[in-house]
Amino acid sequence: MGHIEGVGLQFNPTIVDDLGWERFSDCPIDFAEVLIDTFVAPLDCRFLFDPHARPVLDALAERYPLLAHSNYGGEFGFEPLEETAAFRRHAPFVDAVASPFVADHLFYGSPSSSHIWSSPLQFSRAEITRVAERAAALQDRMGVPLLHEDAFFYAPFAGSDVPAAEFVGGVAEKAGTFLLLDLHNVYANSVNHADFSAAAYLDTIPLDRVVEIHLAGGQWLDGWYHDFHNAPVPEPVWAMLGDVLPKARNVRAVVLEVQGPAHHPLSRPSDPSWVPMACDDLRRAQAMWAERPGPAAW
Amino acid sequence: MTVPLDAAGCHALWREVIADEELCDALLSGDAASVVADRCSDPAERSILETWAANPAALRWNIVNLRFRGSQDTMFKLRRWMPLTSALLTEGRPGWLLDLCFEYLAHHRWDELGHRHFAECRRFADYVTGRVSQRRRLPDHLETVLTYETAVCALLERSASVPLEAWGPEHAADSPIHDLRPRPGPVSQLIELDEDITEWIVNGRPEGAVLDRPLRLLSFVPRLGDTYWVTPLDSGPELVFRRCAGRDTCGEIADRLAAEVGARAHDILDVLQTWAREGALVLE
Repeated sequence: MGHIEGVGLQFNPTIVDDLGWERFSDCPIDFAEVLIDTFVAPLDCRFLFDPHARPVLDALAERYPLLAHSNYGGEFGFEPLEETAAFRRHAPFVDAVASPFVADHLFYGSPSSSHIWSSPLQFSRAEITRVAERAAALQDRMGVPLLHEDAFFYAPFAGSDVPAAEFVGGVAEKAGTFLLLDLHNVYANSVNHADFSAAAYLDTIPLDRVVEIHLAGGQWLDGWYHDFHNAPVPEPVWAMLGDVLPKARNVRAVVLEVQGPAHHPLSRPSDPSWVPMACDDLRRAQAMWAERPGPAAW
Repeated sequence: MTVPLDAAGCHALWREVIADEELCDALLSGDAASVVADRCSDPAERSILETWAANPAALRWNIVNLRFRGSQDTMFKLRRWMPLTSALLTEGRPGWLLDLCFEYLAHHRWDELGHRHFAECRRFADYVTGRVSQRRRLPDHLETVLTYETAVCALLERSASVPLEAWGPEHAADSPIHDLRPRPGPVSQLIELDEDITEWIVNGRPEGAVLDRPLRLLSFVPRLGDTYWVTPLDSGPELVFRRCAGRDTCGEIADRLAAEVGARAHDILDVLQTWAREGALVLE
C-alpha cells in the first residue's frame, strides 16, 4: 500500500495534457492525485488500463506517490453496484496503483457519465440508508478507506429534506466510510445558497472522518459563483483550511484542483500563468500543513 | 393526499427532463403548467416538475453544463478511438467537432453512453453515415477510415466477452511448434480496406499519402496485455494466417504452403512462431 501524506496536486487532463505535467515539477508536491477515469479502459472491453494513457500514468508513478480519485464511478445510482465502473474499473485501479485510500462523489450515476455533476443525491433519510449500504459494499470491494466528497450543487435535488451536512455525515457514519472535505465546494454553496452556512456545515460533519481536503478557486458567471477550479484559492477557503486543519486530526492529504473548461464553455481557459498560480497556492498549503498539530494515529 | 416520489422516482423523472428538450424548455421558460399537465397525470411527478420549474436559474445551469460536458466527453472519446474520422470530418477543428458532438447527442436525447466508448463510437459512425451524409458531401476517404476505425472498435468491444482462458497457455518463444495446431487468437480479425491508408494510421491523423490499392490488416488483442495490435498483412502472410483454422498442424501448413507457392517451410514456421509469441495465434 502506498503512503500519502502532505500536499498534492490533482493531475487532471488540464495539468497533464493542456499545460503539461512536467511544468509543475518545481511546485512543492508530495504526491499526485490521479483521476481514475483518465486512465482506465472503457467498460466495453477487457482491458483495465487505457493503452493510450498508460505511459503517462507510469511516468507519474515514477515521480510521485499516487492517490486515486474516482469521478465517474456511478456507484450511487440505481443500477446494480456490481455493474458500475466504480466496481469494475475503479476498484482494480486502486489496487493496481496501491492507493492507500480513494474518494468518490455524492451524485447519482447512470450509464451517461455526463449527467453526474448535474444530479446531486437527494438529501433524505431514506437515501442515507440506501447510499450507505452501497458505500459500505463499495468500500469492501475497494479494500481501502472510501471517502465521500461533498458536492457543489446549483440546487438540492428534488425531495431533499435534510441539510447537506447531516446527509454527508450520516452516510459516512452509517457506512463506516470517510470524507473528502472539498472546502471550495462548501464555500461556493454558501455563496450561492442563502440557507447554506459554511460554518454550520463544518460544525456538523464528523471532522474525525475527514481524511482528505480539496482546495480550488472558482469563477463568477451570470450571478452565480461556480466551482470551475480555474482561479487562485480564495481567502475564505484559506480561512476555512486554517480552521479545519487543527480539528480534523485524521487528514492525510490536502489537494489543489486546477482545471480548464470542464463544465461550461465560458469557464476561463487555462494558460501558462496557471503554473505559478498553482505553485503559489501549493506553497501556501504546504506552509499551513507544516504548522498543523501532528496527526492522530490511524 | 399526494404520496411523494422516492429518490428513484425523482431520478427517473430528472432523466426524462434531460432527455425531453420540449419538456425541459417549458420548465425553463417559467410557463410550464400546460406542458406539465399534458405530460404528467401523476400528482407526485407534477409536484417535482413544479419544483424544478420554480428555480429555472439552477435548472438552466444543470442542463447547460450537462450538455457541454456530454459533448466534450463524446469529443474526447472520438479523438481517442476514432481520431482519423474525427479529424477528417471536421478538418481537425476542435470547435467544429464539439458542435458535431452536440448535435449528435441532441439527436440521441442526451443519452451519452459514458464508459461504453466503443458502443458510442459505433453509434456515432451510424450517425455520420445515416444523417451527416444527408446534408453534406462526406470527405474523400471517409468511408475507408470509418471502415478501419469501426473495425478496431468492434474488435476491442468483442474482447469484453472473452474469458482469459480463451487465449490458451502462453507459448514460450523457443518451444517447438511443428506438431501444434494454430488457430486465430480469440480476439483477432482481418480488416480489408479498398485504399491504403497506412500513413494516416501511422501518423494518427489524416496526413500523408493515400494509395489507390487494397490494404489488409491483422488486428488482435494479445493475451493478458492492456493493448492491441494492428499490423499490415501482405498477401503471403495473409495466406498463412487464413490456413490457421485449428485443423492442420504448423508443420502441415508450412509444408503444404511451401509446395503450393514455393516459399520455404522454415520461413513459414518463423511467421507462425512470431504470431504465437505475440498472441495473434493460439497453439493447441
